[in-house]
Amino acid sequence: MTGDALKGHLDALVLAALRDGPLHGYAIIEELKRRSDGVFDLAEGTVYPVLHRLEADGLLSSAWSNTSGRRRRVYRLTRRGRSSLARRHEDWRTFAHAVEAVLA
Amino acid sequence: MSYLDALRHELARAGVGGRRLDRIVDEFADHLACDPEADLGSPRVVAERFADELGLAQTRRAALLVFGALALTAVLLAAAGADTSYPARVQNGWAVGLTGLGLVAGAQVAFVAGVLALARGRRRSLTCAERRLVQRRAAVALGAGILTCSMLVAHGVVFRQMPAAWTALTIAAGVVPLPLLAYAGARLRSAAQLTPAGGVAPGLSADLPGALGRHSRALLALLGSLAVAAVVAQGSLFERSASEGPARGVIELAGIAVGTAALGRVLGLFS
Repeated sequence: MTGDALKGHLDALVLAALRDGPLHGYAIIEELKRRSDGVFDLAEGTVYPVLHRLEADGLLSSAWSNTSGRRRRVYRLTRRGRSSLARRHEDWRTFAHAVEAVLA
Repeated sequence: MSYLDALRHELARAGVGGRRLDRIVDEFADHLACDPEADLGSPRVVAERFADELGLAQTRRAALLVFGALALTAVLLAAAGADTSYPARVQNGWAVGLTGLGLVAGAQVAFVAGVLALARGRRRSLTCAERRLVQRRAAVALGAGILTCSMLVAHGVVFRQMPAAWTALTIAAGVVPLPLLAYAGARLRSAAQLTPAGGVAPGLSADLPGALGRHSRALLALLGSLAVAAVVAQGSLFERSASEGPARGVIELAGIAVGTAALGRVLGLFS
């Protein structure tokens, strides 16, 4: 599934990928692939701008960490991010339920 | 040219600079170190996406900052005016009147533009045209806020009959918010640099919920009438004069008419 099909849901997916703990950009993309069984094969460069915006909006925080001598930016959910994720999840459930009811 | 050099070049071209640019390049370098075959997309597309996403976040933040700076101005303005008894006859009357009028007009324009900027800025997603509308509203609020502060300082200086404590408080109330307003202006400028031109944003109707959106002009007229009524009541009750209230009401009405005609399109009041 491409970025276009996911437009509008990418924020929630990125927030959900970070629900269980902090991750760096590459790991977030891998986590999205893994959890979706490879269905969400995003253009990798498009996830970083979303991460930066979510951080600027206060939903994520980030910091540099050193791993094997390499600097990497690690993102984590903020409290606001966690409540935003819960709200988006609820919105999605309502939306998906309504679509399913119409399509069925 | 390597991918990272091309990305750096495109980011700078798209208006992303400074530490943000270095951070993005470092993150992409780390990604490529994890997977040298990664398909990160064309540097130009990635840079434009960054400008787009950051422009959105910075527009929201700038609108909030402007509103925060204006709120501080309003609190200080109220503090400066509290517990003050004004003399019956004013020396230097024209200057006091002019600065007072500038103060009232600036504060009202700043409030309306600031509220409108926040109303559109809080939406989850904004098109580029809507972002530019939020930036214009915030810029008008900022300009009016600076006018209000300047008039407050001038008012304190020209109103010579007032006690020294009032003068000091009034001048301080005008000066204190200025650094925050200047910072908000810098953030607004940086958001504007990241927002490409093009498209038309829907007007006030898009800021209002549901059915209210269909009656935006009627709502505008109602709010204007309420503001005029409040000014008439305030002038009549506090000045204890039969003519002062209506006279102020006429000035308020004229001000609203001129303000709407001059700023209506800039503020996106009409679709």
